[in-house]
Amino acid sequence: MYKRLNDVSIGVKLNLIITVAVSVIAIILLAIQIYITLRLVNEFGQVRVEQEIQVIGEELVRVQEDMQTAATVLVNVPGLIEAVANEDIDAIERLSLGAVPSLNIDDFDIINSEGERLIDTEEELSDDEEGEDELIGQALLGIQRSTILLEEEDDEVSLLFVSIRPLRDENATIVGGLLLARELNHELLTALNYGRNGIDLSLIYDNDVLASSFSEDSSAFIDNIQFNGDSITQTLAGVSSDTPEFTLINRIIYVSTYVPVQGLDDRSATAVVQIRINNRELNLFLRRLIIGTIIVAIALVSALVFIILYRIRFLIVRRLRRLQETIAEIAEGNYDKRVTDETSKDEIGQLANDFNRMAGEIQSHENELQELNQSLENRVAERTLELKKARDEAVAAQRLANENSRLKSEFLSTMSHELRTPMNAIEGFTGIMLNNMGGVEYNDKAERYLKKVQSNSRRLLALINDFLDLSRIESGRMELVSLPMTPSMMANKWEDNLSVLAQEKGIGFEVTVDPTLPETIYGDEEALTKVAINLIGNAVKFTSEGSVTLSLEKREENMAMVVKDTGIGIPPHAREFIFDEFRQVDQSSKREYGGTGLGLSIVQKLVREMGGTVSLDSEVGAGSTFTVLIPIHTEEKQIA
Amino acid sequence: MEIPKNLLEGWDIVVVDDEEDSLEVAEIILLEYGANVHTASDGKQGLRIVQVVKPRFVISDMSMPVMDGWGFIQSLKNDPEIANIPVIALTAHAMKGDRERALEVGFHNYLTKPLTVDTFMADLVKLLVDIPELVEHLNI
Repeated sequence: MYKRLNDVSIGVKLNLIITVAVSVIAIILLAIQIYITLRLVNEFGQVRVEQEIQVIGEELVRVQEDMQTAATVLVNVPGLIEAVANEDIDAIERLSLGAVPSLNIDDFDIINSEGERLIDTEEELSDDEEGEDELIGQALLGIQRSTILLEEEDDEVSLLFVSIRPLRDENATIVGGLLLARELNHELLTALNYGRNGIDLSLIYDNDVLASSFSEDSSAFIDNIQFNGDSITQTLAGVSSDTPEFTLINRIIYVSTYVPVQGLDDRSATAVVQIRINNRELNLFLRRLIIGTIIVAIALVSALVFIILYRIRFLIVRRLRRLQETIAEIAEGNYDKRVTDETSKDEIGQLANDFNRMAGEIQSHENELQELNQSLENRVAERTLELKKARDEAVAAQRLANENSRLKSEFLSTMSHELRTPMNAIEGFTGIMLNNMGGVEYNDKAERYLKKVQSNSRRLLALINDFLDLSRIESGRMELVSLPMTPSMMANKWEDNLSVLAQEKGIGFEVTVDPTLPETIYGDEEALTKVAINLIGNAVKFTSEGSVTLSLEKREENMAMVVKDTGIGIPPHAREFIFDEFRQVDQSSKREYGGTGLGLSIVQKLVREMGGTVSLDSEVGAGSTFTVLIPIHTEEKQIA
Repeated sequence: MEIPKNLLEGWDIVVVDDEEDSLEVAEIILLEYGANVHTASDGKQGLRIVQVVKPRFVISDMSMPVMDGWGFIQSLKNDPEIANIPVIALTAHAMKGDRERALEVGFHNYLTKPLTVDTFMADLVKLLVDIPELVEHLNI
């Protein structure tokens, strides 16, 4: 989690920090703002209250003027004054009651010159009419005034606006007095339009609400009108409070202030008027103020944040982004890219600078590398070319060699066939003739010469065979096979085929096989037969009396072919070279004994091919023993 | 043991070889022993003669023009009338594998070239005594 936070973009991180910081500042400002708002509200309330007081004052003045006007109207009712002077109660009643309803008065008294009430609209005699009496007395004295009177009646107290007027006849003689009263009650207050604009007046006396303009069906009944007792006491004592009182009733803020009411004799105030502004205006004002503040705050914060972020973007994020892009391009392989629009020397500017230097280094390294690479490539290409040429030459040489080899093989094969064919014909026909077949007739001389032809052709054939064998072995064309052969059977065949040679010379011939030899061994029977034929042939050739023996023996892991004769033997000095081609012991031997001189050479080479050895033991005059040792293979030998 | 001169009396024998001399030598020898020798110098010719003559056996060289020994034996075996006539192959000195193969494709046996007067008859008799249906016809 921490790691992931760490990977968040710088831009975002700064965004967060700044937003938090600015928000904190904004909240502080908001708090300040709210404080100021409250102060303003205070002042507003105060201002409003003062306004109201003034208005109330004017209102009261107007009420009083109304009273005066009412008094004047009554006084001028025709015939009223006469009626008073005559104490004609009926007439007074009739005239006054007729006029009164059109006047805004609650009560009026008419008294005669003696001070006796002639008419009193009050339904009940009040207990305390002292105030009224005093005022009436003043009217009889000719005083004309308006004032406020506090009347206590049982437990109820009421405030009255009172106007007194003397009644004068035509002679200006006071014939009586007039007292008009208007109660400061709910109706009056309502009539004065209080309670409707959010301003209520409540008349409080002795912690009792006497009258109030609160409408009855409003949320604040008269009983629930709240007022601060302490404030009232203070007000009565003459201490006026500067700050209005704020109360919250049903989520409406009320601003209240208390104004003392001067009594009749301008004594200290006995009653207090509570002016309460329930203040939809205030609420509205407040709400507007707060909302306005919030909006301004948000706007300011947003603007501030936006500006800061923009700057940051510019100052940091964008420059870093450019740097990063350049790096990416270089990573792709465009080593010539640099950071170009950095002019500042600040951290990022320095970073860009150093980065450019590094890029320059990289580029030069890269170039070096390219050059090296190129030269290497060139050398490799050269070498490859050389190798290719060599290889091509080798391939050509190989092909040539193969071709040569093939040609040689073909040549040998063809020679083999071509040489043998006429020889076979010669042998065939001489044989036929000498066997008296085909109806041939000849004499002795012809027979003798024919025999010569036959023996020479046989010699020639032998030479050809030996020569071809040697050629094949020499050029490696003699491939030995590894096939199963049975020594005993082989030996029998040799005996069958070769005993005639010995018989012709009158010497013995014997073939023996060692029983401990494996019944089946692997090798090339034909090659072995060649060896046997050559050795036996030689043995017979150089033996005139005695015998020739061939024995196959087991000597450790080798099979030995031992050909022993009782012939003329081989002198020691000859042993070295008799295996060489065309060599016999000496020239005379060749002439006397015939033979091609190739036999032993073939034997040696064949034996060598078979992985064996041939050795010679001889004594001049006694005989010779040729021993061929061949390793025994009991399973098919893979051609290496 | 001396081979009787009428051993092959009355036998029809076909010899197929592209070498004239070789053919003549074989013919002279076989004639000497009483046989009726018919010669051909290639496989195709040989086949025709065999179909007509229906010999006791055939001697065939391997390498011949037009149709060689391999083709000859195949065609022979494909013809039910002559498929059972024994054919002896004349193989050259070298190829060991060829001998085995010859036996596989239907040659009854083989003789190695060259044919010498001394050995030809002896070797041939050795082969003939191995063929039951011919033995009874030998004039011994």
